[in-house]
Amino acid sequence: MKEFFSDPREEALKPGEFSRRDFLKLMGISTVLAGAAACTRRPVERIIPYLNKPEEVTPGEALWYASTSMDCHCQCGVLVKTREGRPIKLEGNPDHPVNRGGLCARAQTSVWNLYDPDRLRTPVLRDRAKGSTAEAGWDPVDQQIREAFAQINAKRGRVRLLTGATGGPATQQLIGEFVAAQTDGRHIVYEPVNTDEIAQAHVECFGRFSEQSEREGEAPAALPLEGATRAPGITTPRYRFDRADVVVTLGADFLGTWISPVEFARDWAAGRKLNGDGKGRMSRLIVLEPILTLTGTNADERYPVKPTDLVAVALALAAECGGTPEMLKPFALNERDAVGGVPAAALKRIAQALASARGRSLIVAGLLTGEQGIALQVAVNYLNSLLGNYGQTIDVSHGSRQAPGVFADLQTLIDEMNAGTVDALIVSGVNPVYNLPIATRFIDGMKKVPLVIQMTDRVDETSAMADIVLPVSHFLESWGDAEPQTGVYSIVQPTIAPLYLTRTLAANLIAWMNGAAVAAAKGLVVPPEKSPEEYWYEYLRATWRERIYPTFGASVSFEAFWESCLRTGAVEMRGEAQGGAGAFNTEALARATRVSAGGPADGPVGPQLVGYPTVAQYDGRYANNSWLQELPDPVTKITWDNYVCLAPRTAKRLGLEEEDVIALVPPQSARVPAEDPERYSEKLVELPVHIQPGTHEDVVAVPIGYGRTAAGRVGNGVGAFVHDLAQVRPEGIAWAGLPVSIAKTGKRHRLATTQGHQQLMGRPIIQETTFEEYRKNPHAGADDSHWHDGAPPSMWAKHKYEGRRWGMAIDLNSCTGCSACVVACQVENNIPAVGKKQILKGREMHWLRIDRYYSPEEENPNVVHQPMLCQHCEKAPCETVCPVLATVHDNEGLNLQVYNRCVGTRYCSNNCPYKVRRFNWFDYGNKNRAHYVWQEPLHLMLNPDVTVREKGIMEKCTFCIQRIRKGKEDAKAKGIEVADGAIKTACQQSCPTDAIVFGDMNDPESRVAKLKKDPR
Amino acid sequence: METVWKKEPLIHPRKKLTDVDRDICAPMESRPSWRWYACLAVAVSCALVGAACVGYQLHTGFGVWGISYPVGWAVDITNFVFWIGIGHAGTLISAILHLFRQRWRTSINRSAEAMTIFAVMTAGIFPLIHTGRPWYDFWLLPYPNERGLWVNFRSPLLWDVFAVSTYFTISLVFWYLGLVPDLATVRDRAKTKIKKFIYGFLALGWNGSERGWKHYELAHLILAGISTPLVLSVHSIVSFDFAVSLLPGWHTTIFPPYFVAGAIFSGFAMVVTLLVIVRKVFGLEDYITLQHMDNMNKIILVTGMMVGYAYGMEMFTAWYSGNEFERFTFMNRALGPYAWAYWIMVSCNVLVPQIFWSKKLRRSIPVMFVASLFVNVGMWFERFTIIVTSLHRDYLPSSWGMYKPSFVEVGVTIGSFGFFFMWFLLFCRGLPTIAMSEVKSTMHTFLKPFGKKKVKVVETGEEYVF
Repeated sequence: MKEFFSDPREEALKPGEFSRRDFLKLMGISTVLAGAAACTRRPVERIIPYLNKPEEVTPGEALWYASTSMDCHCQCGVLVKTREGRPIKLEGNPDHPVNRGGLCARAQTSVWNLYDPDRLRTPVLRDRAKGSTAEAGWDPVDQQIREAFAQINAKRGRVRLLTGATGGPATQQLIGEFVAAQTDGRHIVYEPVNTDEIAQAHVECFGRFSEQSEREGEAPAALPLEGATRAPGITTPRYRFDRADVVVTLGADFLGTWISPVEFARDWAAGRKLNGDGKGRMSRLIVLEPILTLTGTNADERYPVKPTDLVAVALALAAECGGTPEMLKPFALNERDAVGGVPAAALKRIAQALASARGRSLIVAGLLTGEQGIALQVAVNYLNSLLGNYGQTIDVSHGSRQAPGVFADLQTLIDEMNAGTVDALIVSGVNPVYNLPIATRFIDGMKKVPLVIQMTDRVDETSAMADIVLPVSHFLESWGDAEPQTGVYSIVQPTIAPLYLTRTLAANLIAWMNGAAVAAAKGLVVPPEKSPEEYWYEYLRATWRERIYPTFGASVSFEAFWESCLRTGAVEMRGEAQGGAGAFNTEALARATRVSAGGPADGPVGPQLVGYPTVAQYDGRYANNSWLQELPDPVTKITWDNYVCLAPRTAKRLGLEEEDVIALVPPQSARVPAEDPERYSEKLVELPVHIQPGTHEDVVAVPIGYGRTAAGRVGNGVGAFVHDLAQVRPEGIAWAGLPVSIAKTGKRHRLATTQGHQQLMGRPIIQETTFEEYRKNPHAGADDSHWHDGAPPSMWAKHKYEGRRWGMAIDLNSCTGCSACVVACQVENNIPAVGKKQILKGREMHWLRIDRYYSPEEENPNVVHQPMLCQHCEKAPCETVCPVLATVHDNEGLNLQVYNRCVGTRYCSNNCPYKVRRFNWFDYGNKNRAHYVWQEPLHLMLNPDVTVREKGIMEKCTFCIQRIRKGKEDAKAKGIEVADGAIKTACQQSCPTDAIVFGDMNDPESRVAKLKKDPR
Repeated sequence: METVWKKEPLIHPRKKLTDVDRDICAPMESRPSWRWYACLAVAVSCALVGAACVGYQLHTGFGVWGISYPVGWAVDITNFVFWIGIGHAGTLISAILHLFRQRWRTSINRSAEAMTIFAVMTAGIFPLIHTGRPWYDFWLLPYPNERGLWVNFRSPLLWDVFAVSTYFTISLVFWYLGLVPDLATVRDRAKTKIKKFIYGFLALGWNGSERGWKHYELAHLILAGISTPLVLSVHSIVSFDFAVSLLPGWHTTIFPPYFVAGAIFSGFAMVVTLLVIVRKVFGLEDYITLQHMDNMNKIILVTGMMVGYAYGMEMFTAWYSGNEFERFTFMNRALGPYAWAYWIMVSCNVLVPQIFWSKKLRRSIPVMFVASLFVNVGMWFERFTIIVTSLHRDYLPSSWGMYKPSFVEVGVTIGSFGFFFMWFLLFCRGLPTIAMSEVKSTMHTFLKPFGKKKVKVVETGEEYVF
């Protein structure tokens, strides 16, 4: 029996007190329970073990695929960098015959287009009458379209397919088969900016010379389609700037937008490379143009000529070069002082230079379109023919197909549509409602087409008039091929599965033609349950096997050939130019002389309108791409707007200042659509003035490709729509030399420019000399007088670089200012585009910018471009002033920025003499903040190797330190030293002219070390 | 024994010793008028506007300011240097004039020192908020941490941290020490318990003993000695922010003395502005006499000419250097897009003070009030000119740009004035605005052994002679 009910020791405790034993007991149990509680199952989250590793994908390792850039007209070869299955960057493919390594700004931003949040994600059915839309699946849509085509074909109706540049042999053949499968089908190719005039002029001058070089055994589909005037693009020759010692351009901006600028820039710069030995060759570039283009800024000699005088100037040159036809007589210089504002002495000099470089000169022309354009091209063809350039610098046997467009075909289509005889119109890859002037009456015609099917990546201006809007796969999601130039076959391979319910044009055509039937016709065995995309892949391979593989020599199996194609991205099957163009049909010159009928330099008086595509926006298709909207125009340095360029003298005469808004009034004589005359008058274009040195006094120049209304959240309402100012002529849409009048509006519109001042102010920032001086003394022009007493004494000890020392050299002689590097840097380093408002405040984030300076002469300035990025100074002023050591020097010569440590005093930026440091004014990378720029799914294209910076910290060029690390790791893994050239910065990689060289300056054999010693 | 040069009395002779305590303690012993409340309300509202702007900035990012490239500093650092400059007069008056035995300083040194403290507090806000990530400002302090991070002792911004914090600490201690005997007076006069407690606590048990006075005087002298080099060093170091950089217009050796002179100039102008109001509102005309104002105006005249000389010298140096960037910068200052700021600066700082050559104007309250306001404005624009016009057009013409403040800059600037005046208004009612004990020493008729010499005090007032 217990003596006590409870322990007397416990009875002695006051309430709330513990005995030692109880304390230990409680401690014990709580420890055990706490331990047990910790053993319970954690909340279940899906953790996926990496057991089934996707083939070839290693996290943290980039995979590269060769493909072809199809977002732009040049169809350059690209290498697509993918990380964890996501394409994040495009780089020029060094093995591709067209661009050979460089890549233009537009192509590089293609990843933005892939991840564009405004992409169309499913097929949409529209009710045109009500304007209502409904999303649909592919099966019912295919069904509906097949039925519609069956009905149309049953009544022998007309089916028309309107596309831009469409691709290579397989795509062309498939389109051919589709068109042929309709009872009355036709394919119309029309790129808004095209080479139709060049092609037409060549037909006139030489007949259909392209036929002599048609490939043997080519399938009929690649031949001119029945009813088509010409096969698209074939009669535009390939221009070889690398072979030309004297280049004369009459308005063609071949370094910026004309046909194939990356290729041309590389070729042209190759003729001007110097290595500091006082020798070398320097081709001469003479530019005669109405507006200051990128090419004009690189000219050795430049004369502003108004558009209507270009033909006369070309003819005067022809006469001076020994052109004999009677009809040239009125254009000869004789005793005249000047033609079209160009002094006679200058013309004589140019003619002499051309004559002394027979077969090594090249005259190109552009900008003028329509009848004027054809006339100009005819005159230029005559000059080239006279100088024996055909077969030398002009290769007609391997013509360009990069900017095809046949206006006659388009006109026929529009006439048919307006006549109400087109039963179905398929629009793919072009946006005619936006791009074509209203006076073409395309819109009126479209209203009369009962079935309009559009394939597009977004709901654009044309979609508003379509019945069925189909989302098209981005080229990074598609199989395809391209033939940018005759004999160059290029592969488009997917780098990611389609993000949305999208299909390619080819797959659509296969679906509507009944895939199994197509396969059977090709002799392919494809299981019937396959999707149209899979059919298309088989079709593509089969076409390549039939058409390209045999000509390749076939010493390997087709599979090996195909694999090597995929790896290299393209096959080239063209040799040297096969002969010239044949005899020049002198009668063709009549057209040129007729256009300048009133004699030389007698065009219409008063201001002349010139609409021109810009490097960043081209024809307007990239409007929703912030990177491109924010890319400063290489000449004007303006972002996020179009404007009217006026010569300084003209602006002064009219009392206009920069940013004054004026209205452009087309003359009454402009063709007005009969049905709706009022709409034209509404389309007065109001634009701010930009005073552009180098513009011809009588020229009013406007960039086209702006004023989109249905581009998406970025592009809507940027700039003004000017396409209706163009005039529609029987020969084409005339964009230059149109009469226009100007009305002041009293309004102002701010232009966001990234360059504050345009002149060098006599400062020794860029040092220049002439080629003659250089040949006497390679050191000429380099002003190092401030060093004559040796380096000035310094407070700071010199850095020692015992291992490597990274450095960069930029050859200003090669830099054209094309701005590809600016965008390359942005894409590589996750640099946000910040919008017009911030640019107006001067807050662009570009780590690399290109400074463009004019000489003081306003009307026709000399222009220099200077890429400006962090110089990684040896004794960097930014480093000493940072209070928290957030910017420091490393032992390999890099000036590092430690984002984590930066407090954001901005002292480093103040103390930077180059002003290349960039501050994160807002939280651009935080999706919970108003200034977020990577709206989903754009965040998928961010480079995982580069930090997305927080607000309030400084950033700047790192010399692509992530690439340096990668290069070093790769070398280490292989157990070798980092080879010179193994590490390329993003800007260097993209540069079409190879102006940027990066490497180890401590290695005396490296290219950069040699360039450092270059006396230049 | 010699007779001192007879001068105008510092304190009006009609005032007796008891009057001093009564008059100066009056604001602390009466209820504030509605005017004072109104002023405080305005000041606090302004301060809140500033606080709201800072809050907006912290949330959204520093981009809400108008600051951009190439102008990475503008109104933020202008305000910082301006307020630091204002903070110079107090210590100069109490330390340097103390060492020089300028007895006239006694009437004004208290409020001037208070002004110093508040101005440095106000100034301190700007470097703290103008960074991109203010929440990491403490990284500027060299504190041991497990990440082994350290600060950059080569950076003038770090020197600033030390200079300003030292200056603030010493000024505060110096000011507080001077307050102790007066706080004891207030304590002794206090009627309520709470007041007695608070002032008693603050008075540190001061009992007016001989020993207390002896230590007090010694400590005061030592602190004056420590503060004196600080007066020169703080603004010299602030000027290093600019002088040590390589920007044309900043990189110049003239800056330290130029900044110190400018600081004293602006500090005295602010003292004049404030005292004109204080002596009127609190009826202290007999203590802060026209003689005091006259003296201060003389200092304004002198320092005004010193900054004028500096302006001229800068121009000359730029021309004489032959450096095209320097030359351009100074041409651009005088003739460029910000020339208006430059000419405001020159006319306010160099031309306006010239009126003080006239004794009549020197002693005219309205004239000196307006002139001191002009000087304040001019000195603000001096800093603006130095910072903004040097930055906005530096080496590469391509990066040239313009600076336009946003509403945040305006708000924060207004807020800084509100913050400053809020403290000053509280000071006026909470602490003796004139150093009573020191003032008394200038009006006593007494003979005190002082070294070997004896001083005879003339019946009208003042002056020791050693």
